[in-house]
Amino acid sequence: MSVPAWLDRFISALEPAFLQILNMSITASYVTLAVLLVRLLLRRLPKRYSYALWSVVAFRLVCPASISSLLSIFNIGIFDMTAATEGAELIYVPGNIGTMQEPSVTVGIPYLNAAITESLPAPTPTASANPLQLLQFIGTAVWILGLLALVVYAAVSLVRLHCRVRGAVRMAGTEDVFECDGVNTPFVLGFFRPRIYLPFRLNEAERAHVLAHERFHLRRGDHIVKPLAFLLTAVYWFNPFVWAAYACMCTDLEMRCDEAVLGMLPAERRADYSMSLLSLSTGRHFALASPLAFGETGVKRRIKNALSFKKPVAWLAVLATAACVCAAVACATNANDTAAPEKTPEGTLASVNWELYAFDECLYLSPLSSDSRPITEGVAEFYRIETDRFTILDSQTQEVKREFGKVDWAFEPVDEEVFAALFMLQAPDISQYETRLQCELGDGYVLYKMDDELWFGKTGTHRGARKGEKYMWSLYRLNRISDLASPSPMGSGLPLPLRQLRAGRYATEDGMAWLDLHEDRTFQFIRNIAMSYAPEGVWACENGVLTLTVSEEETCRFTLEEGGEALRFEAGMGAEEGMIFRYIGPVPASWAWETVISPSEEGVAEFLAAAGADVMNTAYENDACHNVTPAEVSAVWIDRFQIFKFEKSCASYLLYEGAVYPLGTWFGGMGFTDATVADLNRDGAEELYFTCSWGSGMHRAQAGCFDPARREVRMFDFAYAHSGQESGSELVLRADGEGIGVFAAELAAKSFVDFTLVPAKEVARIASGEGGVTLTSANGNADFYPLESDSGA
Amino acid sequence: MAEYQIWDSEYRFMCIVWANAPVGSGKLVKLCAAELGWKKSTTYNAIRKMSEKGLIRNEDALVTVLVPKERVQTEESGAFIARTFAGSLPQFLTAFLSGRALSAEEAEELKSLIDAHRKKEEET
Repeated sequence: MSVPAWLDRFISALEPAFLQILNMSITASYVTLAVLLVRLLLRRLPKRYSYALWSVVAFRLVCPASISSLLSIFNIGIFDMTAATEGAELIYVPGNIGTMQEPSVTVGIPYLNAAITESLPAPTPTASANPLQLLQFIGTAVWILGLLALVVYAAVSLVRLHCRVRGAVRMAGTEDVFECDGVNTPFVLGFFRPRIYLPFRLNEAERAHVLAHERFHLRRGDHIVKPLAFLLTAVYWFNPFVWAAYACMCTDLEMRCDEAVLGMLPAERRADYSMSLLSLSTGRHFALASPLAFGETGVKRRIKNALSFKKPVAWLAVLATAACVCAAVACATNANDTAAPEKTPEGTLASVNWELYAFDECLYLSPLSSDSRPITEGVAEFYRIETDRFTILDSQTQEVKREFGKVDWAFEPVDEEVFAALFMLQAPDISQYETRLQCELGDGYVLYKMDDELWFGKTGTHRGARKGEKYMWSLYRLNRISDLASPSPMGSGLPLPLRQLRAGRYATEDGMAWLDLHEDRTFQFIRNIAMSYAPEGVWACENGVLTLTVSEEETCRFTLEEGGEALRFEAGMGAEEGMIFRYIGPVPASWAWETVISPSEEGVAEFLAAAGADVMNTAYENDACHNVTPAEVSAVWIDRFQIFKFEKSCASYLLYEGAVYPLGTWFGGMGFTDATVADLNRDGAEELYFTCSWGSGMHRAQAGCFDPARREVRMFDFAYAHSGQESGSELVLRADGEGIGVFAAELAAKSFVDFTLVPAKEVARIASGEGGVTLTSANGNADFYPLESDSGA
Repeated sequence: MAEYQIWDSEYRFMCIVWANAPVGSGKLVKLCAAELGWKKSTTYNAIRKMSEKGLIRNEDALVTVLVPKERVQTEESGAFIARTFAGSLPQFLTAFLSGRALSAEEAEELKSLIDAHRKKEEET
């Protein structure tokens, strides 16, 4: 049999399209079955619901991809779409099936998969084309022939019908209604300018019914929907489910239309409508590509449907709509991928020693393989060796792709000649290896031990050759990536050893704690922004465990989750176990932390009530008071430390447990600028540290402290005066691992209560001391301030 | 007594001729386009057909009537759809898609169903 070259090229070019159609056809078959089932349940309801459901089938026939959802019917037990799911698409028959060493297809139902795959012929390396390739070619050719035949048939029928209605005469007083000889049922013809054709001699009632029916069709665009549906059916002509869907859709379409007309008729006229249906039914069904005809499709059922018609009640409509939406979503979406098989129970894994390998290099690939990815891109697989089994895992999802059980690991010496004979092309040179061992895993898979290297080979059997004669399909060198002689440290199922943890900031959901991993392998761990001590040191990640080391005594551990996107705190450094830190982005540049003060009215009334006349005297006329508590303070100590400031006078106060304390000095300056909370005197109760500025002639900024134990505001002697050469006239406070840095900061202000301060340079530091704090200025002057809880009593 | 039998659409055409004859064929085309929605070729086809039947004469683009209205009656034409489509498809497809045609018996049964329904409606 020879095929002209152009035709061969044409058909070959359409092979991918055919496979795509085949794949979509399988999904659509399941969806059709589901819709038919739902349709059965909805049979007593108005047909617009079951009609609407067909759009889902159309969607599956047109669109290869869909989103995943929990609701999908493919989550049902009998389905297992893991093998077929490829991104958003369902691929049952892979595109390279013609050249696969072990052709395998899936239909998404495990019971059927094996049977189908077994029946597929394996490639014969000696033949020029293997049987599956030929099958694929013939299938494509037959598909195109069938499609062409149907389209030509439909086109011819349509042209003939057009010829027949040429002599039709327009009905008086209408635009698009024509009476036609030789037809015995009304119908609509035309795609762009549809016309309604009627037989002559209809009585008044019949004509009214017919016109109402056909006009409803036109209004809904059914004259476009139906040919398109037929076109889809023609494309999927080999699938009986699609034919069934088309036929049922046509019936639903007509019945929906009947119901719309019946809904407009008074109840006593409904029997007449059925009578019109009966008298205008042709008794003949020209099914294929038929135009929209009044008495055509399923007259018997339609008459019965019309007789039993009742105007639907509202609650039923709501219920039916909900059912339809659910069914549509279930049918239109793919299975969600949470159904990762957990074939290895945790218990057995923990008790077994295992090693994990990954693809390293492709040593050999059969010339028959059309898939060159192992050479160019590598193979995204892990290989797990356990005492009694060998498992191939997908490196992305860690799903089990293939498992070889009952492996006894009986390695035998490799015969150099036998080994070389496996290869159709140049065999890899193994003479340089001293120890050469091999172990059969089953199904033609072999593991080779070449000194300390591990090779993984797939072999095939020559078709038609002497029994047992094998050839090498592919040979990969594997690379050991983890050697966990002990079970996974956290005892969790599969390890996450290979994800590279990236540098960046990992934060808890509430943003109260974060971990900065820097590119240079140093870290800073803010366990809680309220804590003054933030551990710093170096980080390392191995086998899915991140270790932070400050010193030999001080370390802590995290396990990687979500493929390295999240860290779970395990132990050490006193943070809360089980806290999840999620990657939020790169570590921000240190000085990008700004103090943003914005006014709010929260608690202002309470403050003014608590403050009394003294406070009001400090305010200017028409001065307004605002809550200016920094977000950092209010987020942690909700309503504990509240700071209020007048927008003109800059008078600033702290409201603490109902009592009001002036915060430093403000006359002629900004007043309060920043605050932070830390327990630097280590008495177990955090103090509020703040900064403010004052002085009209000479601007001075100061830091101070409110100690709740003594209930007293204490200003530090250190005063910062802006020299004019350096940037920053105000002060802000930054808590870090060693205490609180006092920074000169650049001011950008909308008003005295609405401003941003960007830290520029550390000018002093407040550090923890015994029974108090020490403030050390940049020039080295250190002052000790006692802050003792009992001294103030 | 009527001697000539024509189809309904032809009758509608003839009505225009009877009302306007003698009439120029160009004007007849315009009249048919306006009243029947016909194309020019359809009108000329009809003129030719009616001439062949001896109902009208078309000479020098002038159409005249040969037979008066009283001697013509309409005939219901056969259903061409049945002729065109019957049996032209593979049997299994037709059967699969549309089921059997309504038999006389079934039609009768449906009619009595409708009548029963009607009766019930009247009673209530």
